[in-house]
Amino acid sequence: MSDRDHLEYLLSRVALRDQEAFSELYRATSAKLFGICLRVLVNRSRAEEVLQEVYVKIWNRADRYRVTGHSPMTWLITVARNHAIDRLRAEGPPTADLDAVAPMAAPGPTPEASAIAAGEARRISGCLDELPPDRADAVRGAYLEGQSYKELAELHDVPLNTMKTWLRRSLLSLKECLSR
Amino acid sequence: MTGRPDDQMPEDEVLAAEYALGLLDGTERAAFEARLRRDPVLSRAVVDWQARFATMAEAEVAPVAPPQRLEAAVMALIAPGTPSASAAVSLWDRVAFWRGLTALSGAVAALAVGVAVLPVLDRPDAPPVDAGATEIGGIPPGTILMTHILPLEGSGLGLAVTREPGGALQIRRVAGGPTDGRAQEVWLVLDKGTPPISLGLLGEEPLTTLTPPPEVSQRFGAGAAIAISDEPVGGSPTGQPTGAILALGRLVAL
Repeated sequence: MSDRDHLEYLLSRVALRDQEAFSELYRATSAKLFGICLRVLVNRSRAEEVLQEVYVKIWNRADRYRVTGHSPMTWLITVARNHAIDRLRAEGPPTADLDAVAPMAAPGPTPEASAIAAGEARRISGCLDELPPDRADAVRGAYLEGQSYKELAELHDVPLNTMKTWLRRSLLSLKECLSR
Repeated sequence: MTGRPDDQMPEDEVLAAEYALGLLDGTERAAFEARLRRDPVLSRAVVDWQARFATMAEAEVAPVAPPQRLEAAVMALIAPGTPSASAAVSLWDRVAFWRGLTALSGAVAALAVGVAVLPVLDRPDAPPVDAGATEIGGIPPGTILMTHILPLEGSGLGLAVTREPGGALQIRRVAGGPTDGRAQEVWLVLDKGTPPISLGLLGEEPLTTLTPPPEVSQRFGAGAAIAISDEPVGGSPTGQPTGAILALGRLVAL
């Protein structure tokens, strides 16, 4: 059984409230998700607190996983990242809710999603490297540090609209590079 | 803007990426979410961006082992009887949890939920679905509505519910059984403002048939939900669920 199939199996057990499967899922994935919580929140004790919340969320929402069309790791990372960013922003509106989006998506992995799962992990860093370094950093900043357009513009010392144009072009270049 | 597809595509791609990143402000976000609810292609674009960004995080963020004690803390948080795990959520909030499912075609929604109910079966790959065939509202009379009901709070209860065109409900136990000295009551959950309507009690045998009165029967539709609650023998003394919600599922049209 591949890692992915095993995680799929564990998630289906977790959807049925199987605590043993949940414990195994935690051991298999918590280092990855803790790395992401730490990267987003920086502060270690906050990241620990948020990691616990993330796993409670995973426990409560595992029954939703299948309808998203995501691979298990993508789903887990998206849950962790979005929750960590929400905690980082605390006051602001919540970020894109998986529940609001995923059940609406045309079901099943699209050819594109399958390609993403299979080949992009290796290629995404290469594609980011094709962008000018400050623009790649802006993409990382928006995803992993939850930076808003305003914060990104200040950080890179450019007008807000320039920042928006930069990032949008970078995203389209990234998509283009990944689909090559 | 001419509205040619060439012009529209990048714009929607960008919005989907910005939504996935959380870069849209309140107004933009609300407008985008309103479109998402109607547009499976747009929704797919968001999911694809989420996958790309998650892949970036997976490739670029090094794993860090959390302290050992966290595992025990997490396991304690999800143990049955821990309020934070799930209990302190209203029935309607639980139903709202399922929002969006009706937007999938009935077959896919039933499959998606069915997989969670019956994971012992091989995981079927999602079948190809014609997104254009998705029917959200306007359930024609006589349509069979069905749901697989998911177990909650470790009840182990799994049920498949079918509503016949005539209005009778067939409820089949696929996992779990009756609890000694307690009753399991079936409820129709319509929306947040409407109290759940009792449909009767589950029998001890595998198949229960309930025939709701016409005024209740006509309120069934895709989007409504069926819930099972734990009650004293004879059913809820108050006319509203008093015990734990054991299982919950949303009706979809077949």
